[in-house]
Amino acid sequence: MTATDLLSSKTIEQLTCQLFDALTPGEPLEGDAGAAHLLASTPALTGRVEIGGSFEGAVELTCSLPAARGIAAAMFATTVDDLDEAAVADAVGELANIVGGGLKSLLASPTSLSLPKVASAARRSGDGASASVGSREAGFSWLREPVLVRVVEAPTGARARSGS
Amino acid sequence: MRALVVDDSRAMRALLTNVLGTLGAEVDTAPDGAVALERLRRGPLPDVALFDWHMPVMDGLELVTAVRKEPAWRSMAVMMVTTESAHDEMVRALLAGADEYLLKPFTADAVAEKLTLLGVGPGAASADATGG
Repeated sequence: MTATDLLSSKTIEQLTCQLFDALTPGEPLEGDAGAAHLLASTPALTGRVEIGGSFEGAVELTCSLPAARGIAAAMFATTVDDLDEAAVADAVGELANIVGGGLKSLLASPTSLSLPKVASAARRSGDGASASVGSREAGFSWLREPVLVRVVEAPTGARARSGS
Repeated sequence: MRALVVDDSRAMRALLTNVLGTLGAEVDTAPDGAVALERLRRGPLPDVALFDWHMPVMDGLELVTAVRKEPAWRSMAVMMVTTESAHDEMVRALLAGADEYLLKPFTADAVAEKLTLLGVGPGAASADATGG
């Protein structure tokens, strides 16, 4: 059994729904199996945190740009029009950080979590996703915009360590 | 109530500032532990400081350790605000000198509850007022 077997799609779904419930009460995240397909053709941002230790891999949270701007507006308590790109990217990174931290807590110690990195989803998809040995994902719709959370397990020793 | 929020995420600083503001707090922020220490040295001392764990330059655990070495800052309550929910990690933070622990994601009610436990929340303010 790999570590990704422990991190089921259901677990990812629960943690992500809990996050959105806390940040945007009244605007629930709904399961959507078509989110990955939609994001393949939609401008999007991906926040990524790497997990090291007993599990070697990463957690990636991808939002369409409208979803990213919407959740950032909720976190900054402002309107979408008042947000700059850096603020939106920061919010997506923090979302990935929170989901990654929640998943990390389910893994055997010791594990470490990197600081989040954010990139456009198109760029992210070319960054070695095929090098994984296992993955789990959960797709969602938030205010009719796609959101995808993916847990990727890297081959042992393949992950470049990048901080705590 | 005066609060200091230390988090490398702008979004999280804004979120906590907004939540604490609704609870009547006057909020200052810092993006990492080193800047937070400067703010504390400059004063005034906040009633409560909320520290993220994973930050560049100086992380939250290093920060709480440094803060607790300064006798003049002992009256300030420290709450870790983090995704670190493993029991061992919580114990590390508490042993380093943190007074409370708030897990991300949090609700405004959870923040208020923790502040009340620390004696600096809205309930504590009204108790002070009642007591004259």
